[in-house]
Amino acid sequence: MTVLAIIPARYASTRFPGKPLAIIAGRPMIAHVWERAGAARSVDAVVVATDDERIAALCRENGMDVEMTRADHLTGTDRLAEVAARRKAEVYVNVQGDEPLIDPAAIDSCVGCLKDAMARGIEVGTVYLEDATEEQQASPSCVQLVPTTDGCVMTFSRLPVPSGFVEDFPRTVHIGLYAFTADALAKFAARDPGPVERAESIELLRFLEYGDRIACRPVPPGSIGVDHPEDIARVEAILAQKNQSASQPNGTS
Amino acid sequence: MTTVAIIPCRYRSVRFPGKPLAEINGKPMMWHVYQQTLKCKVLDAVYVATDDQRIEESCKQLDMNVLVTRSNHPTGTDRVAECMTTVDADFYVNVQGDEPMIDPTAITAVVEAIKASDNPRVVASNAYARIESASDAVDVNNVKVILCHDGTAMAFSRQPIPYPKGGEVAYLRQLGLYAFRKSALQIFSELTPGPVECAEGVEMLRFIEHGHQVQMIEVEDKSIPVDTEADLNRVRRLMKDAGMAGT
Repeated sequence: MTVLAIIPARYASTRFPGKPLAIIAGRPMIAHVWERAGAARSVDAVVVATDDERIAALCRENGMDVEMTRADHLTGTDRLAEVAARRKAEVYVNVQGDEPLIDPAAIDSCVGCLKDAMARGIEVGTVYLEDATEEQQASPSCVQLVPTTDGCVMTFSRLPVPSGFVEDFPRTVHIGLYAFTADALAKFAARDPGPVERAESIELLRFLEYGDRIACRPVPPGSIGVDHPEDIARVEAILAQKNQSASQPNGTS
Repeated sequence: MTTVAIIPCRYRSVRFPGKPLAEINGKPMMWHVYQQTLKCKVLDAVYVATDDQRIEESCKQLDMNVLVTRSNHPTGTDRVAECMTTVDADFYVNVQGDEPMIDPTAITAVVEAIKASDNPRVVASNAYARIESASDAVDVNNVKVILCHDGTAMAFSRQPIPYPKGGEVAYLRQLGLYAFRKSALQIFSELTPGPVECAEGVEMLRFIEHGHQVQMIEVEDKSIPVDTEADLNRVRRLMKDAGMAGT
């Protein structure tokens, strides 16, 4: 089964313009993501999908495969669907361009989650953190994932769901890693967003609103997204720590 | 195809003990619910289900069908599921015993929704109504529902879902009016409540959390649940004005 990792990368960003090109520990953020996606054992090839010539040029200079996509995509998944229509693979995995610390094992979990679920006729897989920290929950970009007992997603919300009105519930946080079949991406692109997706501004809700199930799997914590320029320093500190432990004789990474 | 209505009535209630027997215009509250339910032409029979002898006596005196059930049911649906063992039917509709002004057309609508569903994942149907005010949307006593395009419930929560990041939202409130296929009650009683159901205290999540579906049906929300003495007085006046006297 061929697995293609796609990293959607936009230059324009309200909070952080030019984010994919931001330098982290001497290299652009997109190069960090590229390297981590390539390190995932389940991934056969990696491609950056962008509408921006500056990002494309940087990719070519650094030997990173890149696909130019339309500039008017409303979501990252629409961008993925455009690439999937040109590049044949059995599974497409979306790796966010602003997750320079993404754990390659989490990408493997996401791909594995979809591959296992395909036997049940499910065409989308994703992963989440169990027992999210208060800091993770406080982030405005934090999305809660409510899992079902049969390993699927009941819903996503920017509200802390379920409510914990009667009993406590461990807060789960969705991670921006999604795996799709080619059919799922084609369906996504052909459908209009529904009222729940529009309200929450969470594109995966489109599958749920149209009655398609999404398989999900918990992964260990580790990845930190970069939403603001000030997040860079935090990421660099974590990278420095990791490199230090790697250079020691008993290092594990 | 037979359909029966079950009106679960408990005597014990933290806020209002003996609630089903509370007198409204000369008759107990549950009698009014029963009369409203009898008006539905889609039903073959109506029963009160109770664990209390006083309620059972009162039903018998007033010529109402009554089923005596165990007293340790955690939810009203568990009580309905027990009735399935004594009264056989293809469909069961659960009508709350504390809504004496329940609209018979709402009961009919929820029964027809489950009968009409040809989706094999749909095991039950449930009524909902539009929420008109922001305070009703944030009230944790109101369970909100978000829908899929085919009208099945995606999720229920006491949080005001969906979060309105992308603009204004029409909030929807789940009502305590459910209809079940017979197989659904079997499924319900065999499944263990999952962590999401336990967190929210919403029994319809039992189905959704285990991968089944619930068909939602919009009704006009004209009913007033009686939770307090003040609610009772309000309902007494309204019913008197509407000519819904018990004599």
